[in-house]
Amino acid sequence: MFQKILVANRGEIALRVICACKELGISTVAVYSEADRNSLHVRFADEAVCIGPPRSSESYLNIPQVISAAEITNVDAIHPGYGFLSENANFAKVCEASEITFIGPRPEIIEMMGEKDRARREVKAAGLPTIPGSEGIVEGEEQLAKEAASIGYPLIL
Amino acid sequence: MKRKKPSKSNLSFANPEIQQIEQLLRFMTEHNLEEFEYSRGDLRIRLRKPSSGIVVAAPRAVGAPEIIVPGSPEIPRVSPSAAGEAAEARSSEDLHLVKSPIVGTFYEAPSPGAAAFVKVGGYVETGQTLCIVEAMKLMIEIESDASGEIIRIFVENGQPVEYGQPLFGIRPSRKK
Repeated sequence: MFQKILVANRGEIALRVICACKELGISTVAVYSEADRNSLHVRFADEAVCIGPPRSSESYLNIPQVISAAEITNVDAIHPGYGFLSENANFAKVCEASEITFIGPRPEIIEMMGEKDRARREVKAAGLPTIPGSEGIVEGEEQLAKEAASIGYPLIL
Repeated sequence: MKRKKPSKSNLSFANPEIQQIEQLLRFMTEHNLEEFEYSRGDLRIRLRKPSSGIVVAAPRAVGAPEIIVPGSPEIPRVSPSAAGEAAEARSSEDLHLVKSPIVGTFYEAPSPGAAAFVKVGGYVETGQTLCIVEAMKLMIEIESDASGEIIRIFVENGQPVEYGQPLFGIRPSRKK
């Protein structure tokens, strides 16, 4: 079991993770941008580190800042919540290299699922049901019309 | 000197920690203490009077970095010494603050055992290296964005710092 984790998210998402950690007796570290200094997730966590200016690309999405915050607070793991860095395979890789557990799928799985085309193929190959759709990426309007005719409407592009 | 009664607004804090800190501050004034450190279990409280530097630091866990105590901006106001408070506010206002642009570990010198880049009382030029902040094994030199005298160094060697945390207080030199 982890002793202490960093929650790399904000708002309700971070709060849910922090509450779950409290139930499990795990210490939490919140990270926040200058705009979220008075947010509840900052108050509820055991520790909090300011990681950047209000713009999320410079704070919550800034991988070096998040990892540095994890290093100075000496956490065992990072929970990315959802959104932000949770589907970022590179972030999962950096966590691995920094010897911090990324609470989520392995980097290669994130990559695989990030590409819809590949995700569909892999899931089909594993024998799981998928909704009807084209075999791979559709090239051009003509093929699209043909696929649409065979699948029927409504359909998602 | 008459001691000011804590104002109503201070009492409105339901937070027991804040109340404890208030009590400690009163205790410090009564016994004329400049600095006070207290630890029990993983709770650690360190208080220092404004005259001798940092006002308050109350990390909940030993060895933990800067902790944001909810309502911490209020803490300087509970200081019973109104005069000292005013002086503190004035001196901080005049100072140009150099803040940490990144999260990391603060180092005052280029290598362990080497002389510090700057000392309190020393003069610095714009662009001069003030310290190093280490982030992910990268040593990032922090340069001064002002010229003047170093009045305060807010952090200690090896201390973790967060984004925007004041590192140095510089009194800008008047001459061009």
